[in-house]
This record gives sequence, structure tokens and C-alpha cells, in this order.
Amino acid sequence: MSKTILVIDDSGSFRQVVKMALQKASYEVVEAIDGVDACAKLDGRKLNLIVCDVNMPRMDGLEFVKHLKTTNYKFTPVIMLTTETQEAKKAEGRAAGVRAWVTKPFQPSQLVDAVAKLCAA
Amino acid sequence: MGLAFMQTATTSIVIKLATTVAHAASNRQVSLIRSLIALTAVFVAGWLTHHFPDQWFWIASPLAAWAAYTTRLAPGHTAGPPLTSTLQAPDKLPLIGQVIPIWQRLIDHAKQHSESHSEDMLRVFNSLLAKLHQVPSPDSVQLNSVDPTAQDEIDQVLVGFQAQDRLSQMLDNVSQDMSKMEAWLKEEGNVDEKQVNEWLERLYASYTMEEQRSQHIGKAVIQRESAIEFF
Repeated sequence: MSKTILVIDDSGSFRQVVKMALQKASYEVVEAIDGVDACAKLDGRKLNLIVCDVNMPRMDGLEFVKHLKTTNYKFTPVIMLTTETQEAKKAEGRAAGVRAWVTKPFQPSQLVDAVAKLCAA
Repeated sequence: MGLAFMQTATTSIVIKLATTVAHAASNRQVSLIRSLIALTAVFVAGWLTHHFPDQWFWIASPLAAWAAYTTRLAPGHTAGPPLTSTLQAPDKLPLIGQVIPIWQRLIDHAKQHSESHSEDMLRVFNSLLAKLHQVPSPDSVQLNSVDPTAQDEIDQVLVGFQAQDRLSQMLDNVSQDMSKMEAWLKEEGNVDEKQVNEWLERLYASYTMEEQRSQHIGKAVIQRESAIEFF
């Protein structure tokens, strides 16, 4: 049975890139356009991992992760996939429970390896 | 999965994505360059008004008129401060004078890299299309048997696309920052050096990319490989 990944990014074209990379590796993908939309997707469905952008309108990625930790999905691993390189932001993510930080642009194989590693953990 | 992926990724979606982003980035660049030219004209006109009060009209007035005309050519993007108030308020010129070169560097950086990425992506598309013509159906297994570098080329397209997306984001930010400066200058009365520095500090703090921070201070961008960090 394939694993399901929630991909959160306000850029539709960027979600498409991530989706293509993950689907090619046989993952199922659920998309959300920002943190608020992602919260609505935490509706009881099985999610094996979350790939999340940092800078988004309405609710940004770090706010979403903090919210996630208060839900039944608190043990779902999160990878931040972002242009953000500030150490302070990374530290905030780490403190919030983020498991990996990938800086755009990424090699599709790198993302797939990271997803496989964290899904197996 | 291989067949479906190659059919969609190689022949339609990737090309559509890349051309859409390239067009969007290009339109933004043209619009932003117009806005920046208009802003520069406002700055020069304001500076002349301040330093040559007796002669300003003959030089500054055509510049201001031209800036207003250029602004109208760039709908959706502002030329920065309201022209009249800036010409009458020389205390606001230092901010405009400092921020113009920053935005110029950011736009130049985006333009230069966008052109280079577009050329690279076009080269890869052509190479992929040539390979696709050699197989009876666009199947990844068949394609890789013709040339094992095909998968690497698809990955290159995906990386190149992300780079274009970053540049578009950077240009969006410049556009938003121009609007923010306009709003700020409208709100503020007299602007002193401390307020200008604070505004520039807030601008710097709002950046999310290394390239933006480097261009802000006029430092060469350090090229780095994509990175993944596990916590």
C-alpha cells in the first residue's frame, strides 16, 4: 500500500513539481495551498509525512507545525521545503518538531530520499 | 507509473510550467524595470529641486512628467512615492536614493539568472524531445534505454523550474516593497536618517533568500548546492 504525503505550498506550480517527484516514487500526494487549508486536511485521513513551505499567506509553515503538534497528527514527520535559509527560522522549526529542512531548489532524488528515510523511521 | 510520468511530465506539464514561469518572470521584470526607472527619475528630480531650487523647473519637471508617464505604463506596479510630495519633501530622498541601487541589483540578478536558466532549460527540452523521437512511445524505460541520461535531464528541468520560481518570488517581493515604501512615505511626515535606517533594516529582515540579503548589501552571491539538513 502506497504512503500518503501532504504537500503544503502556496505556489501551485511548485506543488506540481513536488507532486511529480513523489508520485514518480509511488507516493500518493494530497495538496494544500497554505497552513489553513492544510489544517482542514487533518481530518482523520492517513498521512505518513508532511512536506511544508515556510513562507505562506494566512498561516505560515511554522505556525502550521506548531498547530499540528496539538492534534492527532503530532507524530507525523514534517519536512520543511523552502527558500528560507535563516538559521533563526531553522532553529524555530527544529524547536517546533520539524524533522528536516530542505532548501529550494532541491534535486528530486534528494527529496525522495529524505521522504523515504523519514517514512521508514 | 513510468509511462504515465513520462507522458505527462516530459511532453506537457514540465514544458507548460517552465514557459508559464518564464513568461511571468519576464513580464514582471519589464514592469519592475519601468517602475524603477520612474522611481529613479523621481529621485533625480527631487534631488535637483533641493540642490538647484532656482533652476529645478527646467530639469526636474520633465523628469517628473516622464516618471508619471512611465508609471502609467506599468499597471499594477507603483513607481514608489507620490511624485509631488517627494519633490516637496527632500528629507524623503535619502531613502529613495538608498533603496534604488538595492532594487536595481535584485532586478539585475533575477534578469541575469532567468536568462541563463531559460537557456539551460531550452537546451534540456530540445535534448529530451530529440530522445523522445527515437522511441515508439514516450515510456521512461524505453527512453532510458535509448539514453540513460534522460532521467537526469528531467531532474534538471525540475531543478531549473524551481530556480525560476525563486526568481519570480524575488521580483514579487521587490514589487511589494515598492508599494510598502510608497505607503510609508505617504504616512510619514518628516523622515530623518534614523527612520530611513530603520526602514532599510526592516526591509533586510523581511528577506527569505540568501540572494536577496547578498544583493541588498552589494555582496557577491555565494553559489551553493541544494542542501538538506536533518534534525
